[in-house]
Amino acid sequence: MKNKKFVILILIPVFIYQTIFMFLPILGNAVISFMDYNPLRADNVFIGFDNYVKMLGDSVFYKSLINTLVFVFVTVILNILISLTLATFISQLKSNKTRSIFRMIAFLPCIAPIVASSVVWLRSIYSTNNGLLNLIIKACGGDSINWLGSSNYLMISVIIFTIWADIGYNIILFSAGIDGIPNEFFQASEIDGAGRWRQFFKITLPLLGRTFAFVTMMTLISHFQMFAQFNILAYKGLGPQQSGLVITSYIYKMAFEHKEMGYASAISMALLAIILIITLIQQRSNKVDWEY
Amino acid sequence: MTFCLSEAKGKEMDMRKKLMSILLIASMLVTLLVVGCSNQTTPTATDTSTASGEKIELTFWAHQEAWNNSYKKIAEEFTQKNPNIKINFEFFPYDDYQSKLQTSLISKSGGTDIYELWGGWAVDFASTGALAEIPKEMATGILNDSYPSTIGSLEYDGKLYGLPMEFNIECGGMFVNQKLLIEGGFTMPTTWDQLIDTAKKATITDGNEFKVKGFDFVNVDSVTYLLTEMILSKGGQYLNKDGTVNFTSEQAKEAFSTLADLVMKDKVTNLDGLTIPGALEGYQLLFSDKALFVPRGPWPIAEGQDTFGLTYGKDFTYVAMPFYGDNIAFAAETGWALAVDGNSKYKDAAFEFLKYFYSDDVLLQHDIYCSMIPPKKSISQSPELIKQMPFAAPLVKILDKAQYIGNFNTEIFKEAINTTFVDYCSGKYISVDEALKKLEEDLNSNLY
Repeated sequence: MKNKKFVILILIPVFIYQTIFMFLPILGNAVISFMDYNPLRADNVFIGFDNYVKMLGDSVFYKSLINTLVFVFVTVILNILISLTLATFISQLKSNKTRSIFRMIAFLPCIAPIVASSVVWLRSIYSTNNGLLNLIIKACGGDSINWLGSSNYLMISVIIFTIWADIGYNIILFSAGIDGIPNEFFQASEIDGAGRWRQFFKITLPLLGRTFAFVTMMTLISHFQMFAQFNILAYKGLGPQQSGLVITSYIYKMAFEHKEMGYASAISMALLAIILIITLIQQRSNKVDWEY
Repeated sequence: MTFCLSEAKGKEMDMRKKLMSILLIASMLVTLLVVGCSNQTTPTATDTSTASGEKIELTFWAHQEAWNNSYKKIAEEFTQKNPNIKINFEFFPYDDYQSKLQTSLISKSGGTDIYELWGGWAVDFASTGALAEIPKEMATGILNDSYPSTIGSLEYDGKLYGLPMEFNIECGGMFVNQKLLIEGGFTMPTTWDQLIDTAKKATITDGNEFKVKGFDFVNVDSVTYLLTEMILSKGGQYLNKDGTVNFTSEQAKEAFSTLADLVMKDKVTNLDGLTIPGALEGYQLLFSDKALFVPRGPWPIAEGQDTFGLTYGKDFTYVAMPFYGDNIAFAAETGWALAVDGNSKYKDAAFEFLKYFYSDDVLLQHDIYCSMIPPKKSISQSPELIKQMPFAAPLVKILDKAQYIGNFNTEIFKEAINTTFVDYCSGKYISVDEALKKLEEDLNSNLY
């Protein structure tokens, strides 16, 4: 009883914090989404569902939605595949020190501010004339590619950058998950004659279930909200033929360039709903109910 | 005995853990309280009253630019004449400045007393009370002596909310790379056809890359200004009487096709200026000997001299650009202006400074320093101006031919035109008609 009271006491500040900094802003956002809201105006009118109706008929919103879904699913799948593969290789290394060094190298892009990294890639790697990628392509006899100025390549460029900037975190998580698998399972499987691949698919992957579910969920949520690299790598946050426009960029554009904060709030509520639905689906499909 | 001891130790550990948890929670609560209750506002003005008289310190926000030295000089001169008023400056990188200004005007506190304000932004703020109304006496003088486009965005409901510092002109003049002109054996074009012909001959490409662009007009401003100038100079009009736009006239279709052909058929430039973030501007390419003709206002001249170390007249010049049609007519938006925060405690002092700034001698010297064209009719034809800024000669002759671009957010206007232009050149639309119809619909539903 005493412990219960103590636990409640400890949790109250956390709930207050969550209420002030998470729930109230979301509620405020929801209220604004029903208004024709310009923060510079003294009077802002309640317009009901007009913003949502406008959104349903907005071709630019659909374009941003498609771009977002393509970006999220391609990047998350590649991110998880690459980070899991690299984590597995790193875990195979014998020396603890070597494993730590490789994990540190993989994690370095994660600690660099994403805006700064984006600018470096913009100027030094993706530059059409003197960028590193085009220098390599031209050295191999090819023609330079307009990485950021072509609608065919812009999204690919952003995906490559995002994977580079983000896999480090998931490598650490997967590494921790792999390290947590008791060695006895692998020893037993070796005795039974299982090879490396079989061990990976029959032991490592299943026992990484919880880690996998957590990594997938967190990566999905974070990728839906990504904004900085699109703002920097896509011209005016749009790119040619709006190929770089994602939902977060559209929210920013509507709120701060068009000053239509009510409409921007409606789009952000739509984004919230999308993330919620996808996360719920992902949670159900990745239900892990056994332990080792 | 052992059991009693370990139970006691266990209880002690529990107590320590509870104490640690309480301390952690308490520190978090204190932090929350401190953050929540702290005064977030930056004082916009300091009242350092003394027994002898009220001393006022005003804060002036502007973006980082070579012309900040001119502001400081003018402020020092003003303080010498008005010792009780001191002006403190805060300069911000241009890319951050608009959002900084916007955020401060949205919040009723945390701003400044005097803003350097781009006219195009003022459209959003003039109607909201965020900016202080210019006193009537001062406003009458400004309205009578200013070219219409220089005050268009600063007016609302018959009142003025900003003081124009320049005539923003992006038409009528262009930069020329003298080295490329002479080495290519070209002569300075005096007609539109000569301009395009020379540009085509001067363009050099290597595969997908441009080594030299003959006529680089693809940037955030020039596509819009050229398009509107081409429409107006052919006797057309893109602005309806009710304020809506019309881009489906014959003049508009001809103008749009001509510009698109410069990219797609004549290939005197490409779309990099509107598709690649951070790409060098046309005038910067010209200063690097990578472009021959670039239509722009005269304001980058200082950059050519200071940053690129070039000599005006020898390495590059600024000349009259031939108009597309027979009429001399073009659109201009309201340029840089000064405005006073509607919530400033020291509006009177701020307006004293603005009044001083707007006096003929002071404004003329400021505009000469910044290579800007004056917004005042009384000084725009000044012999001193032409002597100090010979490149301004072709521009001051046509100032009265300008029409105000329109009372809307020009960023949205230009973005819509630029997007349509890029999309058309990239093959998104089957015809010019389709592209311009979409542009017109988008603008008329989004501009107001």
